[in-house]
Amino acid sequence: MVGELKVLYPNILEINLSDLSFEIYESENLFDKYMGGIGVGIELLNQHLQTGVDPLSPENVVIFAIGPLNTYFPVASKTCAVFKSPLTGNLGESYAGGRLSTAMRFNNLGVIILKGKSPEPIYFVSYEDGVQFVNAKPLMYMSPNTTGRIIREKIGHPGNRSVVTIGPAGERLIPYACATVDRTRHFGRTGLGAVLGSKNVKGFAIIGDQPISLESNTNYKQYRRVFREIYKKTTETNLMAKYHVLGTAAGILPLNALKSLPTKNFAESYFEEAENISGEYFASELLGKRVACGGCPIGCIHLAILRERWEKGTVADIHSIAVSYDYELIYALGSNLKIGNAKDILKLIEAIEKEGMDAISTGVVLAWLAEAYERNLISPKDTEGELIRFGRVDDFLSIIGKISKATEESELYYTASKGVEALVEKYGGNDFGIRVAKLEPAGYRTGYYAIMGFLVGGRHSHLDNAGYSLDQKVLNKPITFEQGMNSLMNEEEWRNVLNSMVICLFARGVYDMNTTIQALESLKINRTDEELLKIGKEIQRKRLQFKYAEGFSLKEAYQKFPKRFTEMMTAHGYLEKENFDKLLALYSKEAEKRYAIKVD
Amino acid sequence: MGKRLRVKNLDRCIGCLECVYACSRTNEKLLSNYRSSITVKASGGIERNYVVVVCRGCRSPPCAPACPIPGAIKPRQGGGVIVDREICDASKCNQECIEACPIPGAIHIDVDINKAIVCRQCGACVQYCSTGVLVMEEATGEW
Repeated sequence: MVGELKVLYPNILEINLSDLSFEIYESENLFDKYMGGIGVGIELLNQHLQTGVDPLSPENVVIFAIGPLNTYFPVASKTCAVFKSPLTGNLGESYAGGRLSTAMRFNNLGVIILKGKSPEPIYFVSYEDGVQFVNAKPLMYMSPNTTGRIIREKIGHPGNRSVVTIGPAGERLIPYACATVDRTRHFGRTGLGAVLGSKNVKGFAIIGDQPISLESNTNYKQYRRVFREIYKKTTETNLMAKYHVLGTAAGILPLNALKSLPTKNFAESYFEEAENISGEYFASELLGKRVACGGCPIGCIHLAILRERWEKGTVADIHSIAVSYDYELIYALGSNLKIGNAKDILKLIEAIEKEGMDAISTGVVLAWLAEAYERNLISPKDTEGELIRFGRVDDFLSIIGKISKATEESELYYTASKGVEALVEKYGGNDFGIRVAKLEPAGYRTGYYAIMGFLVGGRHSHLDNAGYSLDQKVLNKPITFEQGMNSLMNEEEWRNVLNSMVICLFARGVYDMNTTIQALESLKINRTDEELLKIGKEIQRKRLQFKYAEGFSLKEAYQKFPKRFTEMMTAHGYLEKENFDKLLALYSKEAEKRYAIKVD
Repeated sequence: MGKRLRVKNLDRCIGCLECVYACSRTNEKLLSNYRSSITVKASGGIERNYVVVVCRGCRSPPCAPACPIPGAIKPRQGGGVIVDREICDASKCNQECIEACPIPGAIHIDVDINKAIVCRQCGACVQYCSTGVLVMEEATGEW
């Protein structure tokens, strides 16, 4: 049987949820032409999605795609999801780790396409020989992790599977609902959870244990050599050391020292209690264990053990839960809410995890509510008697569920469940309405490039082009605005290449151009520097084309910038509107030149 | 005397699966989580530790004498066994080796090729265990 396994390019599983049918077919030259991941994802989205559809209608389409390096090489452990976002109204794009990419690899699936809407809530299981649809009505409104546990018990195959689930927020179509992968990883940004909810998909599982012949699919000797080199770079150099020691939470203290840690809804850039919520503090006081995604020797997933005494309980009435934490969650639910107690942050993470919402968006929504409350923009009548104050964890804990469960009668919480943009439209407060192109941002007040990176990025994520990183790089080495914007655009194009592989961006230092080319070559995929760069640029053109076709307006998103962005102290001092104007003009001119599309 | 594989620091396992892939890559020329002599799985939720299931490298391996096919499983010097793939044929036995081994999962039959899959103590996995769970050691224990 192994002799027959000459599959380099895996299959496509296309599911029509409306009649619960599926088709598995060969990907033919799809991966040749578009690499994989975002390259394949954006191409298929363009092929399968009609322009202008409601993102929460059955007409929306979800594409999951892995790339050529997944499972073959260390830290190539992500899966790319592409869809139309219910939060931003344009490009929905998100990446998650866990074991999803390895399960797809061993199921010989390169792509999963979801279309239509199931008549009833279901989950589906992809086995090697087909798909089973299972009634999920009895699981409605269960948390993502309870749902995941139940699905795992039902399907068996421990070690060879991956389970993706949504929580109540996804079922209630909250546009920043996430999809949870294997308990601790998430398709967090841009609302995949709501799209799955709109399709009545409570979750899905992929089971895979098909061996893949390395003799037929690789230049075996070269493959083993390149594997060893990448493994050594990953584990024996300091390229990724920060991720396994303190994890992403290592960023809290340095960013705070740079006056770049968003605090109190971005009003401040320095949090006096940062030491108590730092990666160092979490690691020494609360860290229970580290775990890894499939095929990643780093193990950046930091699980804290939260011991909680029951309300009115005795000294022995206590339970412990494991909560995974990261930099972005500590910013969004810590400094940005002025919560200076690490355990309180874990409580907030857990509460949001149970609902199945994106922690960054939820945190920024909570921060807007606290500021609006402080400024009397919303009244106790609006909050239904709840106090919403910075620094008070109980205030936030008591409204997270209200937001997740809100109906139209509960106007404030219902609006909050639609995001900061919706709150600003309803109640005003644009000056402190922190979102860029309708997406609540990640935690960086580093300077111009972080903000511009959010604005011009394909999915408006900090990971599109890492403006926050450029801000820090140029602190002592000033560059011109023109160089800066060019650098952002080059970075985004290169990341499109890495996101086609699909490697974890934490390993971007390991996968430089030469290493990437060698890894591909060992898999008999021959690409030159120029070809890879061209692919990255072409993907960017398609992502932008998709956005503008869906009605994205750069000008409008820029005009909605909260005044706070120009009142902020950052690592680069106060930011000025005239400079943002200049940066935007430079971007538009260069983008039109690069991608030959009208950018406005 | 040869060394044998020991799961020395199980509590440190982060579940990355690199040992599993190293085994199949080196010994089978496959990318596989199944055709590997090592299995890594969670032991009841991610909060609990992982379990690494692999042959313990016995110096008097009970699987070898239990095998009814002469020469299919031979004791290895330094501990453990070597399966002769030319001779082993799971369609011609009742998988007595699995029955004889007290560690569930240490030996499994690959149904695609009908052969027993068991660690040959090569140590390829150890080079790819970043947290030091797996080590190669001289056999000093009583087993």
